[in-house]
Amino acid sequence: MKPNRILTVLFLLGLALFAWWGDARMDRLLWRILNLGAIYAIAAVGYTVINGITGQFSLGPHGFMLLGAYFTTLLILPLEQKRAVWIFDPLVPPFSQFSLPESGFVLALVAGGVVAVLAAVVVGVPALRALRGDYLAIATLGFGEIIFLLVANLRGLTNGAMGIKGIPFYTNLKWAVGALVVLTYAAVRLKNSSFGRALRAIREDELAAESMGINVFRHKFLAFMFSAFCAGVAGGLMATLIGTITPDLFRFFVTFYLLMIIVLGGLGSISGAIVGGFIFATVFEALRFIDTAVVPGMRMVVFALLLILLMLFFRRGLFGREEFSWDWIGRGASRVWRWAWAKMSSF
Amino acid sequence: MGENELILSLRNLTMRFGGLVAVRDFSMDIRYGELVGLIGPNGAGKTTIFNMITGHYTPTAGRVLFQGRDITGLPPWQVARLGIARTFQNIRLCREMTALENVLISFHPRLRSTVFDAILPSPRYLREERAMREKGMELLAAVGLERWANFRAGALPYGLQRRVECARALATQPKLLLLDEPAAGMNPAEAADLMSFIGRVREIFNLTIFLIEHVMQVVMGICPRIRVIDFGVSIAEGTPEEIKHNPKVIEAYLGEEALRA
Repeated sequence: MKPNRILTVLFLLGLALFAWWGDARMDRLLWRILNLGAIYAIAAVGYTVINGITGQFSLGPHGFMLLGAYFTTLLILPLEQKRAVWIFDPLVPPFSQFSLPESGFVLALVAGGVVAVLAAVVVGVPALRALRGDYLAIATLGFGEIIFLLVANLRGLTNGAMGIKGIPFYTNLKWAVGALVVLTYAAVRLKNSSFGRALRAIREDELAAESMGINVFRHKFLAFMFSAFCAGVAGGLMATLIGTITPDLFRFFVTFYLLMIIVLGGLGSISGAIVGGFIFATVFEALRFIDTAVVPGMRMVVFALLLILLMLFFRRGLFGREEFSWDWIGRGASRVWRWAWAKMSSF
Repeated sequence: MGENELILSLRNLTMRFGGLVAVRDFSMDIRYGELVGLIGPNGAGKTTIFNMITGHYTPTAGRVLFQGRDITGLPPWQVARLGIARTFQNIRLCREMTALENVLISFHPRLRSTVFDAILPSPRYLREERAMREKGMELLAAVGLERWANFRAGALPYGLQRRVECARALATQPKLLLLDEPAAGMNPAEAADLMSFIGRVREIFNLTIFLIEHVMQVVMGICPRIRVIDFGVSIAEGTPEEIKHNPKVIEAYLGEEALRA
């Protein structure tokens, strides 16, 4: 085995141990922030595949997250809770008839992702075929609104604006980090494969890619479905982390967060999306004092300002388009070492 | 000339943009293995003709036949898969990708593995990826670029970028290669160099080449047959000698005064 691969295996083992330990005895606030970070990172990884790597400006991930959250919830909410929540409009079958046990949680998460993918097919076929740039952004934004309105009004399925409460808290670090690892692996493989080259070619020069025989629509569609799946899974994890969902759990502001995350990390960098997700979750909690000290909602003003500053002075983000790798660490470390050595010897 | 000797047949192509007629009633036949030049002053409609062949534009009227098959109105990616490759007047490389990656893009449509194969990755995908890289390096070597394989395409000097673009077009394994002003922005020495390069490529890859140029001297040396258009209308066709002395061509290029002088 190559040394890099050994490092990766060790890292994953360490991560698993950490998740185990964290779920058992970590400080609850920190535990929650890490879970949120992992969830944001999952959605951001998907988002950077369509927005950063393929260069298609979608503004719809919050719609996919909402779908994932509701579908996962519908599958795993215990039957007695279902009876307690849907009082005015009874829950429609088949969801009123069954509920998956905790062992079916993975299935419920995947199903949430799949439903998001189905929605991506519906919106993607017309939007990605005909639209690019700003127009695609507007179309996907409209899609997010449609999902919100559907969720708010299909009361037999979603209980409308009253939301659903009492969702079992299945999400923990094992699940959130586990899903992040699996989806990151898929995203990295996708990016580095021949398909990823085609996606990057579309970002760089769509006309040229098309002239070389690449079916541009099909590849945009592929990236769009991947990002929808990630968003759906992230939504499902979020629902089972916080235990209560309402239709305005994922409004446009969530897409705005994700945009900030992938720009902060470096557009098109998967590593950047992950690091950005955790930074975002941390800073978001750290800035909570602004809401309590100044005016509630002030935190968002600060965040909007941060995004503007980011675009002005830090457009390439933390990673640019680079990815994390052990060699990259090695190069960085040797550079620091050489620098320190030069400083030392100049004394 | 028999029908089955023709690789490309353009029949009465007309392209209108609103009130502007960019190309009017343009017809032309190209036989297998030919090297044909299309020349004309700036704005004569040369690139428009290319765009109609490759499917970037759908002609307002007329038909494009490739190997006897009507390809009018097919999208560019399908046209490319049938065996027509092109380069662009203003080089269109994926600048952030390496020279090798640019070439590999052209192999992608032929990939047999599915996206799941690629994500896993399955042995089939790994085999294909390895084969693509080998073929890509061979191709870069054939155009003298193996040293630059892992350089960012956008960082290469202009002349080399042209070659990368050419290699990328060749990687689609075309039967017909369309070159849109390959010598644009080059000095006479570089242009001559490029033209001999094109001649070599044509022999190695057994290609039919259709090339656009607006500097007449460049094509004179290598194209046995040249077509001239002006204001979207075909005005002359013949050997370089005939073209050089054709009064209509001289008028188009130099104006009427030159003819009277």
